[in-house]
Amino acid sequence: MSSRSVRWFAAAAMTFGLAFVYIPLAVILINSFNVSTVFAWPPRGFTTRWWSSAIGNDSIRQAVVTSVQVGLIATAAALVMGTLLAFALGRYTFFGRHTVSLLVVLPIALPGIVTALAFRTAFRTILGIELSIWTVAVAHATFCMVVVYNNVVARLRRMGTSPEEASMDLGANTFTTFRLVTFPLLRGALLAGALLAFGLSFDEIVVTLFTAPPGVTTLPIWIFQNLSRPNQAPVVNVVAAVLVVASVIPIYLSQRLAGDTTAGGRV
Amino acid sequence: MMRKRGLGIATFGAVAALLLSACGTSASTGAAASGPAKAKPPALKALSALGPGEGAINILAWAGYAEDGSNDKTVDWVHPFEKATGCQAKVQVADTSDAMFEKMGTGDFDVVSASGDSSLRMIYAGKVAPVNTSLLTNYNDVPAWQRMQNWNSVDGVAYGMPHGWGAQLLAYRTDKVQPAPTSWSVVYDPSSPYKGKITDYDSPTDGIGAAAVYLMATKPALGIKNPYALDQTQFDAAIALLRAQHPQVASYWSGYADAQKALENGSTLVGSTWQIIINLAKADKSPVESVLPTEGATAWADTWMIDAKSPHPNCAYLWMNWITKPDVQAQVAEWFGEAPANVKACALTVDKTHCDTYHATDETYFKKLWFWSTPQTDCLDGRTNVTCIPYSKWTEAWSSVKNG
Amino acid sequence: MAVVTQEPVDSGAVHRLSAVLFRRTRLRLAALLALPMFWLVAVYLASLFALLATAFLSVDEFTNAVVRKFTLQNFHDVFSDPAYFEATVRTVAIAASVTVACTVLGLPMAFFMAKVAPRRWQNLLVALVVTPLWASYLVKVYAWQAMVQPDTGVLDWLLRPFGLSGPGYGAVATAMTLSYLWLPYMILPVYAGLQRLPDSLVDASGDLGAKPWRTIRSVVLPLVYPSIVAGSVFTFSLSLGDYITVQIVGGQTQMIGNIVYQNYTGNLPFAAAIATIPVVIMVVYLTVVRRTGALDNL
Repeated sequence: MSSRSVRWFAAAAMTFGLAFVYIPLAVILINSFNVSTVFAWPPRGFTTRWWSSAIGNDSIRQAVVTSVQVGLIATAAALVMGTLLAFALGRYTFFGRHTVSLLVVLPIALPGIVTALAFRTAFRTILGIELSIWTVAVAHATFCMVVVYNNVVARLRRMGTSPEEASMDLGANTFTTFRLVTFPLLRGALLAGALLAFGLSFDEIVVTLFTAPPGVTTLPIWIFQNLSRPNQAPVVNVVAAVLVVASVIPIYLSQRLAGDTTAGGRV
Repeated sequence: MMRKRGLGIATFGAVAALLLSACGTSASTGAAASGPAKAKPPALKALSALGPGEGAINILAWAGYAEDGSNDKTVDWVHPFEKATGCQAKVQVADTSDAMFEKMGTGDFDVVSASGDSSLRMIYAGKVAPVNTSLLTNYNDVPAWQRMQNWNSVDGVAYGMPHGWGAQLLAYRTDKVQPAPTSWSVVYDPSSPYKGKITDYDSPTDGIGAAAVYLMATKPALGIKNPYALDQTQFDAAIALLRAQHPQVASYWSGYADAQKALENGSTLVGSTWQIIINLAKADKSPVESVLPTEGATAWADTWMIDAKSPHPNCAYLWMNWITKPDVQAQVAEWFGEAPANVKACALTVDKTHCDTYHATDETYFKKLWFWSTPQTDCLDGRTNVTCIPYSKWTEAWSSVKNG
Repeated sequence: MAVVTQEPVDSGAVHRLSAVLFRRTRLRLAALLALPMFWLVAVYLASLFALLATAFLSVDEFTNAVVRKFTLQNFHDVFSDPAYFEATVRTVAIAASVTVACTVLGLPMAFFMAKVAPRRWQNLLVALVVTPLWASYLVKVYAWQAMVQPDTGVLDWLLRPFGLSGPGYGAVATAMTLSYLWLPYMILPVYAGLQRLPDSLVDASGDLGAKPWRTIRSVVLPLVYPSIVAGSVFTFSLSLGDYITVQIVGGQTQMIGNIVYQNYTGNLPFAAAIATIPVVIMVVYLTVVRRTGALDNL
């Protein structure tokens, strides 16, 4: 687009947008040094005691480990389900196809509390099973499926069927084709979908609150419990600040991978 | 054709739902209709003898009741408990009585610090078991007027160990609220100068009950004798008062840290509070104070109760004995800002006037407070000519009030 | 040119299975769909229906246990009390304004990222936009609480020199916070959609004499519309059901999610009846949205 006014307007929006996005994050960072436990602004004084408290804190480490465990299980299940669905819906036409695609979106589109209550009632009341880390993972996988599905279906569409057909013409059967031809082509989309799904699960609070037993404390639950304790609330800010910084690597990775799979561009 | 498949899914779902709901919904154990007069709690046995600790215990408690040093390093009575008994404790904080009610009865937890607005419901739903008072070492050090009350016992059977009690007080900012208030009118009067800066505790039992307490003093013609026993007319009056108050409310609090933050930062200036909020704000050098208004107040009395399906009953009794022994009671009472149930703790508090401030040994004061209880259709004040509004309607009405 | 011959790596049984699957399309499809459909229908959909079916049951008034007695009382209560209608309207209004705000801010940003910025900046810009998703949801909402607090908040502090004040707690603060939270969910699909838009179309429009803003209006927007709608599915649905943000920055405002949350322990059938409102709204929204092809663009 060569028009100056359009470029100027877009650049202005971007600048304002980035400021909008990062000012609250700056507030979080500043408040992690704020002397006040009630986040009085402007800060009366600064202290590093929240940071030193966070470093020695065992419950944070435990919460992160639990979150990672849940995330890995949920992502693995979401990868399998999402890919199966992407192949089914992306490659075949059958009656009810659109209803199924609606069904896939439903877990993430319906209000979290509805999904959470539905799962809790199902697990506890109807199936009568105890809540455990697996119930949390099952619930997470259900709404993480759709992000994997989206990425894979988009990739399949761009890929077309010719590589697979060529492979089969050369004598490979379905499974070998998938292993040697399709899967390598899908890797980027799968990884991008997996990272997104993991991120979704890692930060999820509502459904987790309803499907987790007392012993399972994911990081969002830890944050939820500690934001209401006056001497712990600033420590939560420390945790958030660290999370943001630590997340740069997976984000950059996912962007490189997703960037490879989005075609078009400046054609 | 597409619609046919969609219809197929919908039909399947509906059939599945009906089948599932037929075999799944939680069975109501015992009480089919209304309250204690007609129904009895399910017959459950108390522990007969105390054995060795099982090595673990899951505690469901109010914030501030089971401190393990992670909030304030000097405030810890959980680790000493673990050392003394070998029962490794996992503490979960519940934010509302409803949350406590929902989590009990499954064996997920062993003990709960139940307030009066959930304890009776738990008893009747069979979620908690009776206690064997001979196994509770501190039971007789609790004054008789706290034992066997209508929120922790049924038909002479004790269901828990009293922990402590306190009133819902009126908090106010001393620098912004002048003169110092002595009446709840400062939060209920539509012409209050603090409109838009009022706070209230987010609980149907307490919210509507407190409104009823105010009406007892300001509209005696309504004939309210017990704020938790309201017939339709009285209930409607209380709800009307709350609806009129709603536009002046800045926020309803449920976590005490949020209430403290709001008071300190000035987004609320006056309203219902717990003493711990005042203590913490004062420790932050914030100018706040609390008062028990002339009309009286609602109050809470917490009882440790044991889950009917507790997997660690011995550790549960060990915890109940630990948390109610004099030195630990003194610690909890001072940290939270409540009157300890075990009055032997009064000699051990750091602040020697603690028990006087909280009227811990004052039976007259105790009897003036309206302790949380569960409203039922059989009126708690004994009236038989009317039916009172039951708790499920209280929660609906409270939601409706908060919607404005 | 060398011809690469691949040794057949297939064992007999696997090869036969593959042949069968190759011939039978339906069988292949069924094999693909079996596991996910079981999961989605038998686990998720069934629990959803079971929850919504509870809305037709009653509750024991004293123990709060659900009693298997059919009744329409819950729906009657929901639809007869004007407070719930107001709550629905308020919630939909907040969700709609969040969607509009995210579109108004997100569209130019995505446009900049996809079409204006130099190629080598693209990955960095996307990373910058996506990074806040990793700062926990709750922490971000509390950061906004610190920002919108009346008198002692960051916004008040920034605006006081100009004689203005911040929004304080309330529906406006809630909408601002929700827009902040869901902005990346709008930017990403729109960015992907804009990336797929060939520059040649835009150039052609210019060649035909359209001014740049006209090109945007007539060429870019219609083509990127499905992506915007896809983003709106997230922003609308996430706002519709949210109950945590409004508790923290909303003051005494209440949304539908709060009502469900408050009532589900004391009166699950009633909470389920309330929950049908956002479910119906979302299903209708998704069905309408499906026609625009947005669901393929998520």
